[in-house]
Amino acid sequence: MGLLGANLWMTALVVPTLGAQAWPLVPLLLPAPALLIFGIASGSPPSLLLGVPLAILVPLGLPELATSRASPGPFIVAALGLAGYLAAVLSALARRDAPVVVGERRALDPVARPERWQRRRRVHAAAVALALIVPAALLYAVNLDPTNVQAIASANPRPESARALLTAAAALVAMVVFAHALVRPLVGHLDGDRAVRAEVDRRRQRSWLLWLVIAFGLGLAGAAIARGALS
Amino acid sequence: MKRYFFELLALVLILGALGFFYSAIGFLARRDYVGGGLIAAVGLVVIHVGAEMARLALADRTS
Repeated sequence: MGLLGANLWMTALVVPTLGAQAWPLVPLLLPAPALLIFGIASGSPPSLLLGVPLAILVPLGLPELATSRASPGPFIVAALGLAGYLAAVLSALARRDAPVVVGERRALDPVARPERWQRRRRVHAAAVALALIVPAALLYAVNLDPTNVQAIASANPRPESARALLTAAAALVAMVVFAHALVRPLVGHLDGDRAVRAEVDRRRQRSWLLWLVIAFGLGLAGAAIARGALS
Repeated sequence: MKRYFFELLALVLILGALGFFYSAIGFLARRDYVGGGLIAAVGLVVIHVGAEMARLALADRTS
């Protein structure tokens, strides 16, 4: 983790700063290693997950580093370095917080595994897949989809700024989706799903929601049929 | 069939919401902020329902 953090700091910040001979920015090189050392020593997740990446990436927004920021090669190296660093930090924090397992660990017999466990594994796997698919699709829509790229270029006087803003918005939406739609069900499940089961029991007694959904579906189908008949 | 219902519905709804977000980006790219915002709001509602379906799939203790 420390080595990956140092590698990210060197490749993303030190090399571009020294390469651009931006000497007034040299003091900005210092917070990142300080936060990294502090984070490793104290095991502070905010320092490692938020402080270090921000201390490395925020100075890259300065005009003096615009050339290095716009180059695809350094960008890809920095992005891979950031992904590797974050994965290493998360892995180290998970190992630190994991409960101590006493005794022997043996794999479950797949034949005897209950169906509900298999279902939960499928839901977990789908959450992981969606956590990758959602941001990838949104970033593709903003930066690579030919129709959208052309629309941004023709409708905005500063297309690069508009695309950067949309990329930030897409990242924000992806984070909301991750926290709200993918992590929240799993967190509730760790709690024994008490709230969900209470809600299910309550809704079993009042099944109006089911009828509402059926009525909505029938309404949609009716509207589609009517539209087809009238057109 | 019932045992796959909630997880399948959750997957369909979350992926369907992704389509709304994708479409919202198209609206925003053409500077149609009202349309983009409305479509994104629909996506958020759909994904909320998808998350609820995922919770039900996890909470179901049958079999």
